[in-house]
Amino acid sequence: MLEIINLSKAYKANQVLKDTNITVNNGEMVALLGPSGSGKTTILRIVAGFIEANGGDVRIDGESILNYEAHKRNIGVVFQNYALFPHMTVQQNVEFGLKMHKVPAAERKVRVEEALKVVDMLDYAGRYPNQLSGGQQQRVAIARVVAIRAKLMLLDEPLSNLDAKLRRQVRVEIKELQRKLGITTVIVTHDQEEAMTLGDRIAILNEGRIQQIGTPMELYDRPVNQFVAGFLGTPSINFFDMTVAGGNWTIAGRPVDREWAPEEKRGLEDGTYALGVRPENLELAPEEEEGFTMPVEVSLVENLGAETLIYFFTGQRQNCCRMPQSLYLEVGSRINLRFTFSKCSVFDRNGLRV
Amino acid sequence: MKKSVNKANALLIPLTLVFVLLFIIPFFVLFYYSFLTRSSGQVVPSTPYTVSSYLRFFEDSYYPRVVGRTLWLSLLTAGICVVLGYPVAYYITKARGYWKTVLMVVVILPLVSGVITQTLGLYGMLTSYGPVNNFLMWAGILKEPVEFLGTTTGVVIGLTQGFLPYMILTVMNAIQAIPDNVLEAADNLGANGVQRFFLITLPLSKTGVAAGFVLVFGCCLNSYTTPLLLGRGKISVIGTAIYQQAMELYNWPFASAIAMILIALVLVVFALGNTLPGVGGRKKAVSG
Ligand SMILES: Nc1ncnc2c1ncn2[C@@H]1O[C@H](COP(=O)(O)OP(=O)(O)O)[C@@H](O)[C@H]1O
Ligand SMILES: [Mg+2]
Repeated sequence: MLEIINLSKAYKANQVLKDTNITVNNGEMVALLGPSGSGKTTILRIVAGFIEANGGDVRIDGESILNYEAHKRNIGVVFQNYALFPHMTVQQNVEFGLKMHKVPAAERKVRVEEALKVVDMLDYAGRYPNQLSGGQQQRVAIARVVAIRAKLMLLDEPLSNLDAKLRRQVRVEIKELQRKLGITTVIVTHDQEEAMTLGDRIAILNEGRIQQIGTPMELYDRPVNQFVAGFLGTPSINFFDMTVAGGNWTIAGRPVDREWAPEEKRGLEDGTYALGVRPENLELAPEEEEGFTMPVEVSLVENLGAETLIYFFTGQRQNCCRMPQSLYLEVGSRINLRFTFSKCSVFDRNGLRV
Repeated sequence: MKKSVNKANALLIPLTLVFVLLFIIPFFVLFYYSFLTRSSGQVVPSTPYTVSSYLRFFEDSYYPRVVGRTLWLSLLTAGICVVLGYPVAYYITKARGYWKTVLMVVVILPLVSGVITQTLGLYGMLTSYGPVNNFLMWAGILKEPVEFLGTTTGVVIGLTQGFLPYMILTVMNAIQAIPDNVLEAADNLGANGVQRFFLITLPLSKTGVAAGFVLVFGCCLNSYTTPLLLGRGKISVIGTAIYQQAMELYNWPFASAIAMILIALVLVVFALGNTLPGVGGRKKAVSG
C-alpha cells in the first residue's frame, strides 16, 4: 500500500537517509525502529510532505505522492508532541480536518462524535488541550486523524511523552484501535519493546539505512547483522569472541571440540567472529558435562521472582544469562554455562550474519 | 535551596535601585508637586496645598481636547502599525538565513538611531517641496503639494515611523512562538496556506497583536518630540503641553497634574489591554 523506494535525503553535507526502502501492506502496522538521530522522523516528514526528499519515490497504491502538497495527501500524522491547536476545543480540533475537507456540518458532527468515541474522549469534547493530560491529548491527536479517515496513519514516537505505566496501557490501546480500524500505520519508536509489541513487522533503521525488515520474531531470532542483534532484546544479546582456525573453534578463549560445534556452522572459514547468544540461550550445566561449557564467576545477580538475571564477565565485557526461575546465587560464586548453539548467531568481522 | 533563592534576589538589587531612583521617586515628587502652588520666578513650587491644578485642567475644554486629540492620534497610529506591521512581521518570521538577518537589522536600526535624527529626517522628507510631495506629484497622485508638517497627518506619519518597529518585534515574537508542528498539523489535516493563516497563525498571534497595540498606543500617549517637531508647535498633545508648562512657563504644579492625568490614562489603557481575550492572565488555552 505504501512503498518507500530508494529514498534519500541530505541536510547540507549530512546524508540523513541513504537509499531507504520500506513497503507497508494494506492494514498493516509497521514499526520503524532506530536509535535517536537515525532518520526516523525524516522519513515520516517526507511521506507526510513537510519536507522534500533529494531522491527516490514514495508511492501509495502504486501512485507517486511526492508531487502532491502536504494538505492534499490525506495522510494522518500524530506528532510526537501531539501538536493540537491550543486555541480550539477538543471538538474543534477534531472537526478542523473535516471542515478543511468540506464535509457538510451534519456529517461533521456525526464523524467527530464517532472519532471521539473511538478514543474514548467524548466526555472531554468541550475542553481545551491545556486542560488535558498527555495521554488524553494524544488520543485527541489520534481522533483528528481518525475523523478525516486518512488512508495512512503515521505516528512519531507517540508514547515517548507518557510515563512508564501509561505507556504500556496506551500501547495496548493503540494496537487495538489500529486493528479495529484496519488503518495502515507506520509507528516510529526508539524503544525496542514498543516495536516488538506494536509492529506486525519491524523496520530497523541505523544511520539512515534500513538494516532489516521482518516480523519481530524473525528479527529477534535471525538478525542480519550485529546492530540488529544488539538493538533488539533486553537484557541485550551477549557477544563472545570466536575464532576458527583449521576448523577448530575457540569461544572466549576456550577451545570447542570439533564434534560439539553446531553442524550447520561447521563449514566456517578460518577467521575471527562474534558469537551472539541471547541471555535465555545460556543454561546452568553440571561441572563435568559432555559438550561445550564455560565456567564463569558471577558478578551480579538480579532475582526478579519469575526469573533471575545472572551477570558475568568475559574479559572487559559484561554478559547476562537469564534463568526462568528464582535462583539464589552468591556474587563471586562459580557456575558452569551451556550454550544453546541452535539459537546462536554468528557474525563475521563486518558484523554480518554468516 | 533557600540560599540560592536569596542569591537570585540579590541579583535583582541593582535593577530595583535604578527603578526606585529613576521612576518611583520622581513619580512621588511629581505627585507631591501637583498639589502645590506655583511660586513665581522659581522652579520648585511651594505650599499651600491645593487641588487647583487639577481643577484648572478641567476648567475649559482646551486641555480635555488636548487629551482627546492625543488619544485619537495614539489610537490611529497603533491601528496603522497593526495593519502595516503584521505582514512585515509575518514575512520576516518566515524568511531564512542571511536575508532574515538583513530584515531584522532594518527593523531594529531606527530604534538605535535616536528620535531626533529620525524625526528631522522625516521633516526634510515631508516639506512642501520635499521628496514625498515631489514623488506624489510626479506620480500624478497630487496636483499641488500637500502640507504634512504642522498637521495631524504629519504627526501620525512620524509616530508610525517611530513606533512601527515595536509592533513588528512584538508580533514577530508571537508568530515565532507558534510551534512548527502545529502549522504542519494544519497542513496535514488539509488546510491550504490561506486557511492555515486565518485559522491558526492569526488567532495564535493575536495576543502579540494586542500587546503591540497597547505598547504603541502607550508610547504615542507619551510622545513629545515627534508631535512638537512634525506638528510645528501647532498640534498640541499631552506631551507637548507638559513640556510647555514645565519648561517654558515654569508652572510645575500644573505640569505635574497633567503628568498625573497622563499616567492615570496609561494605567487605564494597560488595564483594559489586560482584559482583552488572551492577553493578560492567559485564561484560555495558549499552551502547546
Ligand atoms: N531541519 C534539519 N536541518 C538539519 N539537520 C536535520 C534537520 N532535521 C533533522 N536533521 C538531522 O537529521 C538526522 C536525523 O534526524 P531525525 O530524522 O529527526 O532522527 P530521529 O527521528 O530518528 O531521531 C539527525 O542527525 C538530525 O540532526
Ligand atoms: Mg524523531
